[in-house]
Parts: sequence; structure tokens; C-alpha cells
Amino acid sequence: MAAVAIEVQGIRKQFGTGKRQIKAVDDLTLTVAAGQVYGFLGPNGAGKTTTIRIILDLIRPTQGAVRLFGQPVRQNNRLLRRVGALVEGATCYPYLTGRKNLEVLARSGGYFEPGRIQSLLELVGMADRADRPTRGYSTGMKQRLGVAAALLGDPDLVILDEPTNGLDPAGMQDMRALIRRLVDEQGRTVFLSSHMLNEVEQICDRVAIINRGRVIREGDVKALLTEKTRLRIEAEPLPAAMACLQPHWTARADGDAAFYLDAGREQAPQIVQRLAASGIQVYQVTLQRQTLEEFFLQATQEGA
Amino acid sequence: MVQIFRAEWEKIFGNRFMAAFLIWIYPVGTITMLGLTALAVLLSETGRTAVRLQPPTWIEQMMLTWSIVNSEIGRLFVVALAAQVFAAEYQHSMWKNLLPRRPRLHLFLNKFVVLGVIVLLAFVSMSLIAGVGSGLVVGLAGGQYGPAITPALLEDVLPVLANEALVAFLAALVATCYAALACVLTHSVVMATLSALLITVGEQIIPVILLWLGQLANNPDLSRATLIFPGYNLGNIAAWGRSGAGYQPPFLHSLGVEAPAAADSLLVVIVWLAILIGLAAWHFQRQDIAH
Repeated sequence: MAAVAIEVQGIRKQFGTGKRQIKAVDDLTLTVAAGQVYGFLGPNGAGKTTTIRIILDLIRPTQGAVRLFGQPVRQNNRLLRRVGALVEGATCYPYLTGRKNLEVLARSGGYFEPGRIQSLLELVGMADRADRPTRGYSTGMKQRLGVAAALLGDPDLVILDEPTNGLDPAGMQDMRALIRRLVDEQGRTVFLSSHMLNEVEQICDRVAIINRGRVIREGDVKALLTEKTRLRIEAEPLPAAMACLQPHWTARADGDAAFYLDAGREQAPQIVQRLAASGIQVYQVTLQRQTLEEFFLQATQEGA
Repeated sequence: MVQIFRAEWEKIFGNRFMAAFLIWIYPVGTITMLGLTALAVLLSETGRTAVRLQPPTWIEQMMLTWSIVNSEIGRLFVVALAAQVFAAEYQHSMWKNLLPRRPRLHLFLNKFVVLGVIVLLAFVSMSLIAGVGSGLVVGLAGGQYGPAITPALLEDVLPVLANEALVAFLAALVATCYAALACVLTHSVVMATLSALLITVGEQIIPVILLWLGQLANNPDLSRATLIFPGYNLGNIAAWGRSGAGYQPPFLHSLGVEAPAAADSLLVVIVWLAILIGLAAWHFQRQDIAH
């Protein structure tokens, strides 16, 4: 397998013309290495789904190119057969059963195997409801079916756009475990677009954050989240402690007994020494890293 | 190719409501009509006498069905079916699931193939049911159903029936093309059905429009342009099959225009089909699937 699963090079996409022109994607470049879960984040309207549709050759970019496994994707259906995708909410033929929907999709791809359909239905927890027409399915059931449909062709690359939408907490947990299993046990690559930042933080190896059609931050999840750390300090008296440190660091109170200081682990001894020298009682110092949610909000606000 | 054909087939027949009203209606409708006629024959002496005195022939009955499917009403069902089949993927946002699995052109052209087979099967079954069923009705009335099938008769009748079938099939394909093109442009079943119907019916009045334009421009030769439209050429192929002479409406006769040969008309229709399918496929190939 090529080391790089997805290469997106300077893509732009404009919809409409003149005053009604909308720039959905603007010079977006990213590279997704094979064999990892790659998170693709962005606020509503940032261009995530348009990018995914361009990767899948559903939309032609105004400019730029997409390569999958080292080959250009444009009108390359043989290459696209290595990709399974759930794009912008699962859809199905409402008058067919869940199983029949999968059969039709598998036949359309030329890889129909009844045994595989049954095992996928079991994998996504839909085996017992597969023979009902999908018009009666809940959003969560459709999502599960959509994930099974994405896996029909035994793809090397799985693109999942909000796969946990409509799932109950247990379903979300199952989905997260499934996504990790696809990568860790089956060696696939998963490109995951999600609004559930907690979920992305738990399962993604790398993330890209996009805003207004551009990548504004990209990198290893752990590295990004430890880029900016803070110390939580419990001390007495609190106002004096904050006043002692504020000339050197930014401090924010956290209730009546503690405060946050924008500082890293290596600065902790110096901080404790300063406080002790000023006669302040220090009860606890803890290092805190940002959550992905905080990081995301900060990055998108800076980007705006 | 068998897999992709079967996928489309299952989608179409899986939509039972659509299949019932737009496909099964041909054979089931014919059986129903025959059933009602049989009932009338069984319950009424007048009905029995009428059938006994003037029994229909199987040739008339089989020909009649092709005339029905070739009429505007008959074509309405084909147009509606084609619009449903092509627009369903837009309506249910399914293109995004299908296109990464097969080349666009394969999926698109496959719809024409499957529709063609379904329409042909529906029409042929309707014709056979009408031919055989009418015999049963005449039998119930105590009449003679004929004429007797002899090799000589079949030699005469089969080419005529085959010609009718060809015309009906080609007309259905042209209507399907209009619907497909309208679907690709509008993404809507209703809009596609209406547009395709308008074009199908509108095509019938093209000679009148050309005649009128010719009078306005003081150039009667404009009416000759009728010869390039599929409607005229389908009529011409049908006329050659039925009467051994081409279709020559009075306005063409007055211009001294001879009806083209059936083979020439067939070529014109095939060119039209190629252009319409090509245009729809070309547009679909370039289309952004954004929903």
C-alpha cells in the first residue's frame, strides 16, 4: 500500500457566478498518510463536505487536484473502488429493505457476496432489522447502514462524514471502537469528519482544522494539544498569588481557591519558588493540556 | 454487466408502487380489460351475439396493443417510468453512494438498457396476452377466433407485427431520452415527467408550426424540416410496415416531397437517439453531485 492515502493539492471550488458566487474551498492542501485515523474538523460551512465530495470525484474542483494512493482521482473509477464513503448523512432507497439496499449497492459495484452483506450487517448491529424497509429506519439506523455500505467493497480508505450522527451513546461507543479496529486490526485508513470533538480526540491520530475553505491547523493530535499547556495552582491568599505572578504570566481565577496560569511544565519549579518567596502557601500545582474543543475554538477564532 | 443490470432491475421492481402503475399496468391492465369483456360476454346475450357475429381476429388484437402503447397516453406511462428511474437517484440522494462504485457512464447507460428491456417485455407480454386472451373471450361467446395460423400467414403478419413493435420500442426510447435529459437538468421526477411529456406532445405539432412559419416567411419549403424530426420518421416507418408506402401528409405532398424509405427514417431516429443519449450522458458526466 502507498504510504500516502490522500493528497489534496491546492483545491478551490466556487459555486455560482458574479455576486452569488460562493467560495466553498479555497486553496486547500492536505496529506493523509495511510494506516491512520485522520480527523477533518471545521465549523459549519467550512468546506468539509465539499472537500470530501471532491476527494470522491463527485464534484470537480475549480482548481487543484486530488490523488489517492499516489494516483489522480479524476475519472479514475478503478481507484475509487478502493474507497468506501459515508457522505453527509446516510441515504438509501426508502422502499427497499436495509439488506436489499446493500445488495443493490454491492451489485452496482460488482462485488455482491451475500455472506459479506450479512457479516457487515452484524458488524454494525443491524442484522435483526435488515429485512425491514428503510423508510421506517431512524437516523441512527440509517447511519449504521451507511457505514456498512461504505465497507461493502472492502476498501483501503474509508471516508466517514459525521458517522455518529443520530446514534445513541452506546452506538457512538461501538462506532468509535469500529473505526479504531478498521485501522489497528485491518490496516485501513479512515478519514473522519466530525463535529464531536471529544470523539475525534479519542480516536484520531492526526487532525486538520479547516475554516472558510482553508486548512488553518494540521498535525498530530497529541502534539497539537500539548502545544499550549497551563498550570492550575491552588494557593493562599489567592489575590496575592495572582499579583505575584501576573507580571510574568497570564493568570485567570478559577473559583476562590485556585487560578490558571498560561505556563508549561518546565516553568513550574520557578513559579513555586516565586510564590514561596513571597510567603504564599501553595497547596497544589497541576499541569493541564488543552482539550481538542478548546484548541478548535481557539484555532477557528484566530482563523476568523 | 449482469450485476449492474440486476441492481437497476431490483431498484425498479423494488419500488412496488411505481412498478404496479407504470410497468405491471401493461399486462395486468390487458388482463383486466379481457376479464371485463369476458364478464360482459358471460352475463349478456347481446354481448355474446355481438362477439359471435363480429369476432375480432388475433391479428387485430395484437396490432391494437401496439397502437395503444404508441399513442400519447401510452407514451405517458413510459415517460413517467423513465423520469422515476432517472430522477430516483437525485430524489433519494443516491448518486453519491453509487458513483464511486462504477464509472458514471456505465451507471447512466445501464438505466437505458434496463428500461429498454422492461418496456419491451411489458409491450410484448401485453400484445401476447391480448392475442391469446381475446381468443378465450371469443370462445366463451361461442364464436370462431381466427384466422388459422399457417406458415404463409405468419410470413405475412410477423413482419408487420415486428415493425409495429420496432416503432413502439423506438418511440419509447425517444421518450425515455427526453425524460433522462430532463432529469439530469431538473433533478426532479415531476419536472422531468412534465418536460418530457411536453416535448413528446409538442413534437406532434412541429409540422403545424413549420407550416405556419413557412407561411409567415413566405417560404413553404420550411415544412420540409418535418422530415428531420423523430415523430415524422417513426410515423413513416409505421406507415411502410402497415401499407407498404411511406407517410406523406398533405402539406408534404403539396411540396412534391416523397416520403423517405423506411431504412432512411430508421437511421434518422437512431441518430436522434444517439444525440439525445449523448447529450444527457455528457451533461451527467460533467455534473457536480452536490446533494
